[in-house]
Amino acid sequence: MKTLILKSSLFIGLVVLALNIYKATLPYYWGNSELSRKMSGLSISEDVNLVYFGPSAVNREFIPSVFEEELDSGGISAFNLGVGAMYYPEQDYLVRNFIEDQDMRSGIQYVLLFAQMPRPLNKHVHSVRVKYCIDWHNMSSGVRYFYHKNNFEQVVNYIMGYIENTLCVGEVFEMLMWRAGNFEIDQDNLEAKGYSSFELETHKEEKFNKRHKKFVRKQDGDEYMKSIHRKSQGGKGTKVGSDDQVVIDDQQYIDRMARQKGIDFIGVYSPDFDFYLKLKGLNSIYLGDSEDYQAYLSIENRMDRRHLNEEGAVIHTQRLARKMDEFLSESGSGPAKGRKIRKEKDNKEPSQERTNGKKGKKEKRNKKQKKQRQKKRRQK
Amino acid sequence: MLFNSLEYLLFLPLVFVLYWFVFKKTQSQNVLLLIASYVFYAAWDYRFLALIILSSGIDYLSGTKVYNAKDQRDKKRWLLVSVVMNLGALAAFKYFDFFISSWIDLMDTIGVRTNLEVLNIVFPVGISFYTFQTLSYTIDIYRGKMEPTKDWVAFFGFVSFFPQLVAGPIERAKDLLPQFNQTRAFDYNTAVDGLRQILWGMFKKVVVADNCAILVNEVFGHYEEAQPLQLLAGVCLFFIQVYGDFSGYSDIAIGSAKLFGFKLSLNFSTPFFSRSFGEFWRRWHITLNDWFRDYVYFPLGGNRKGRFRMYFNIVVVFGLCGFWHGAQWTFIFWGLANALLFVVERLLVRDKEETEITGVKLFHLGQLVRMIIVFLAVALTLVFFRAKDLDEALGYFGGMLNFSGQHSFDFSASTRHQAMILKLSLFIPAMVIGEWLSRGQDHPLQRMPKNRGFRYSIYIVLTLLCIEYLYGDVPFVYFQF
Repeated sequence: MKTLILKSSLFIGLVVLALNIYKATLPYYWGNSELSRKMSGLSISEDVNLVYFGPSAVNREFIPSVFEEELDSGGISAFNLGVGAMYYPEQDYLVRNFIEDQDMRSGIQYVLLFAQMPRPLNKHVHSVRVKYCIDWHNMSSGVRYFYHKNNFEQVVNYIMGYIENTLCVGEVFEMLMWRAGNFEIDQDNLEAKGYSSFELETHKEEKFNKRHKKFVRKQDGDEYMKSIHRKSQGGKGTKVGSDDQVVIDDQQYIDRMARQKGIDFIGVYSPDFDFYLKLKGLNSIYLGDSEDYQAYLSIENRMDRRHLNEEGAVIHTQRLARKMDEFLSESGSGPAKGRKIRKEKDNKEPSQERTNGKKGKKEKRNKKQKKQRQKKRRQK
Repeated sequence: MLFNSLEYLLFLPLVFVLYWFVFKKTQSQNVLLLIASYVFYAAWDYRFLALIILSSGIDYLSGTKVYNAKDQRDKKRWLLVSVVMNLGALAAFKYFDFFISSWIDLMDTIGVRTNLEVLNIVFPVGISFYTFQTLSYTIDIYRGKMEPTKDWVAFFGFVSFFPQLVAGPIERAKDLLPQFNQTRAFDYNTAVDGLRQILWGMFKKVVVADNCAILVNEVFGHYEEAQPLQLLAGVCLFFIQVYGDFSGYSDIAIGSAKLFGFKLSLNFSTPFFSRSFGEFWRRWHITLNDWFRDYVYFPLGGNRKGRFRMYFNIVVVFGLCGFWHGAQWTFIFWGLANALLFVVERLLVRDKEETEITGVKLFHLGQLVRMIIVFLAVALTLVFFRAKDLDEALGYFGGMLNFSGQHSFDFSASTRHQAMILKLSLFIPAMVIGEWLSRGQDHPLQRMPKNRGFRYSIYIVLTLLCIEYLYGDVPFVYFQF
């Protein structure tokens, strides 16, 4: 009997060990093919010193070129590492590993993260994309968070997700095929430094048009936007719950890691994070205050309920750049301070330049993008 | 708790270790198995534990009463209590809504309005299986084939034995119950065989059946737009899916039982290689068919009351068998379609009781053609089994005959489906060849090659495939019955 237990445990143990050894040879982002492409882009992009992780709200709404142009503080070269459906367990895992990754993080001064609350692992709990990132740290955070929320189903889901990831359940084929996969970044995406515009994805134009029409017809985003606005007005300073504390702890943990590596970790907080004021000692940018709010939440600037179109993304990125400027001047840190890349800008007053030059720049950009779109269509 | 879940793969070793290392006496092992079985069932829905305990209690009591009854009338009365209670529970939980909705439909067609409403009763998993199992206990006592047990733990354990609780094999009390009362010694070879059978069952379920299910769902979801050949392929894949799913479940059940020193009945015996419908039904879901034979077909007269009566009995048994599967007209039609095939075959060809196929050569053309005919015919009847309602079933058959060329759906067009077809073109032949080579055995891994390297290569490949597809969220087809 003992022989049977020993033999079968040894067999399973060795198979799992071999799989884990193989997994360890893969990059930590192997479970996310889109991020794998962006990472390959980042590895060949020179001078990048700021990366921004997050879900589609980053992928579709953060335009590095606009951000760099808009910053008063020069010397920042940004790269968008946002990927659709990159939720809390995954982005937390990726940022931690990115900071530890000596090759990738070299030259990176700022790591921005679009803060999110832990998500329930219901619908796709067994998919590779959800599981591959549930390491011990994420599992314990998820368990603590949902325990405080009295959601025991999710506690179990996080534990099972961790076990499945450790045993490589459902991951074997994708792991083995990763090396055979082509994860080179698309040229347009590389030029846009990781930003993916809805408008440039002409092959999905019909789908996106449908989504936008549905959004305009139903205006189903209206209530969502109102709720965000309400939160932005009155949410600040709300008492921090035990569940929120889990998120704060994680942010602090990443911050400590980043400091050790000489990186500024900056959390970008949407209005959902009404406890952001409690994030003492953390670098943070809060986007919930109502300045410019209606402008970029208006229907003409939105693609659908959750995403801005390119016009909206420009407004959003400009706003983020102003916030970044505020952050840099408040913190007084960073190599970017005082170093201007665009010399012609030095002679102008920043505010004057912003008001005078914006329209011209925008038009130029729009023309350039139109040309790109037309070129793509012609190629097709 | 599903067999194809991590929960079960943690639960099984835990119970195994407790069973052999902590609870060493037979009585305490039975208590452990009973508790483990109730935990296993409660992981689904703890509310229905009461039902299974009640059902066990009634049959335990009525079994003793039947045996101790002074006269035949008393015996019959207690047997009736058991039958009414068991079938009553089945009727209430499984068939009540069906009868009500059928009654409403009937009244509607003759223009009478009724105030009746369906209750949407939650279906207790495994009720059809354990009800038949407990019924066989009282009936066998009534027939004098066995004596009632005085050990209620053993009896309750027999009803709820977790490896076969929710989807069989449907065990007879005279076969399984004595195993609870005898001392069970650990046998290394039996346990290894059990583990191998679990591995093979997992392969059939999570690798073959679950992957087939993806394509089958696509085809049945678009049957109105699909090409006739794709519809035929869809229903053949469904046949393979049901086989992989249900026989995979049975293998895991039998293998799990072997780990605890129990021997469960064979439920499938390479049915794809049947050369007649009679042979097919002796190889497919054997324990259910044996149950219907012993408790319905023979009491109806079997083949002893003339040919016409025999055909009538066959139709009744198949109809009931279909109805047992589900409270829908589609299942009754599935049963009747199979009865038709069976009766026509009996009329045309005399069944030679071809149960031994160990000596059959695969490339004997006549045998091969017969196997293919049986496979295709049974697969076609499964359209009723899979369809949501009769309209869908008839629409599916209509689609198979629609050669007009206007078909907007092509499941082989998407790259995801192409990849799936490629995978299945490896997995299905692997399963079929494995089963062919092992005909006459319990399962293909029973007699493994002596070469250790080759043997472990097979284990590793099967384990890796199971790890890849072990998602744990695709329930077994037969759990709905």
